[in-house]
Amino acid sequence: MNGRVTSRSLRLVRFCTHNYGLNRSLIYRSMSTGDSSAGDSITYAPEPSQVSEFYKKLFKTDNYFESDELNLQLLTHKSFNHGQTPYNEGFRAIGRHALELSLINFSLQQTNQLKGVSEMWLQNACRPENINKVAEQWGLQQVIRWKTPKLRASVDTKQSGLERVTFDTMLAIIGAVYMRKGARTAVDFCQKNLVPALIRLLHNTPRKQS
Amino acid sequence: MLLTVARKRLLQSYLYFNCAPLSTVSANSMIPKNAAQVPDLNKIAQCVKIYTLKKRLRLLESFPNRTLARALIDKSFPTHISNTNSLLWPIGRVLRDLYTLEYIKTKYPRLPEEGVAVLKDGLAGTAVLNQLAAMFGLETIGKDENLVDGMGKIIYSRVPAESFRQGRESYKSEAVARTILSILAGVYIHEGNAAARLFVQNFMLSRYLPPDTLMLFQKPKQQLRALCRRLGVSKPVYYLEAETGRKSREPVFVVGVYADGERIGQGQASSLKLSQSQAAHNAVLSYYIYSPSYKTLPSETLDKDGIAYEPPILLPPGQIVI
Repeated sequence: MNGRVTSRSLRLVRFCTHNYGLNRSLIYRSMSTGDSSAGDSITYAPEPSQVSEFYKKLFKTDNYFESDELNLQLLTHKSFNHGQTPYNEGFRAIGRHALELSLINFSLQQTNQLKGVSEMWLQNACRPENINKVAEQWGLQQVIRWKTPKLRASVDTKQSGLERVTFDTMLAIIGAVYMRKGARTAVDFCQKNLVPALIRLLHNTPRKQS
Repeated sequence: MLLTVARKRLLQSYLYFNCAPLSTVSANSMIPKNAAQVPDLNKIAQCVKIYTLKKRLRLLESFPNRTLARALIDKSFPTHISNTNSLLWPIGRVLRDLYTLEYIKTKYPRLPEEGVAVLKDGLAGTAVLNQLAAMFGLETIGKDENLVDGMGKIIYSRVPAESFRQGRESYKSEAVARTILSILAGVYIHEGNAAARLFVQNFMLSRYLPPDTLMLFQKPKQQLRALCRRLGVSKPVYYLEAETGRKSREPVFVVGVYADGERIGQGQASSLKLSQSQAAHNAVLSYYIYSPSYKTLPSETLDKDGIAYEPPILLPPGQIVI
């Protein structure tokens, strides 16, 4: 030890003094398992062909966005490669609000006596669970580039972060349509591809009491 | 028959509002004194304050006074949902967020997310909306003020002192913010997208708030190193450019940071290390607050058909992560 007393070194000393009769190798083994109870993190990355297939299926045309770099950036989460590769965080917030605007337009088109939108309805419609269900239909989860945190053996998708990453990437795609193609294109895109599915999911799932 | 002023006011309140008199004095202090009175929107819409507010805001003649009246009654006030702005303010919130964010992202494409959030709050947050309300001449109803006197004022409920742990909690700032957002929603519904965006631009986005005052980077030298690596530029080098007062009580060291032979930042502090950090901080800041010129905002395509949108050339890859 180099003069600095850390908690780990203290623990080692304590073990040695209190467990004098035990086998030394047992002590070190138990020390090491105590430190690395979390497993490894997994990095997911799709093939380039999968990426181009996904965009073709979604936008029905080649080269919807002007560059392949942007195509890849939109599917890259901040966790991938510790943020060294261009990632999609910058488009997320705009995408969220563009989606909310298309929901508002949908609601205003309904002939109601009282014009308006309730905040709870809006939040329920944009819930991550509902948006992720649409993402599953698009096949988005297979093409995202991301990295899980260090995981133990049995862990569900929520703990691994897949839910969050899918949600972020969905909103980022909408945001990119907004910033690169204009608001009208983005709102039309949401109106066509997202809003009907979200409204259907909203009516089917039980309302979340906030 | 001679009536006292108080009784006259009470009778007036019966006339203007569909008021059922409180037969039992509620022992429950949670219900405010004017809760039993239901605001009559048609009457409020005809009052002078609404008329003058509409003129001050330069709203179109076709903008219904009833919507403006509804915007002034906050969702916290215990009355039917059709009388309050609870269905209007979410529209205003989304529009405010959208127009502000697209402006910030277009004007400062490289700004980090924390800076974007702070700038958005500083341009169009709750405090700003309260200042805006003061500018518009919007008043709020007094503590136990009659709804008659409160016509044309922002009507909201107060939380009684005993009910929450934190003590007297007032909805006032949120209520005022919601009123402004409801007016914005009314503009969107009745006057269109262009007018709504103009509303936000004139009153919120025209504020002067330079982004370099809003951010303080942790580990600036590390961030600059990562940034230079990402941009494919040489490792940053620090040169002492000027100094005075070494060995005295108040030294000043001016350090410049250079990459690829060009100076990218300069910092000044009272110690050598600190001035290096300052130089790195200024270099990183100048990268993030870069503001290219732009022609149109994305939401201008919603005004009418056939407006072309040219996206900016710069595609920001995201902020540095260390």
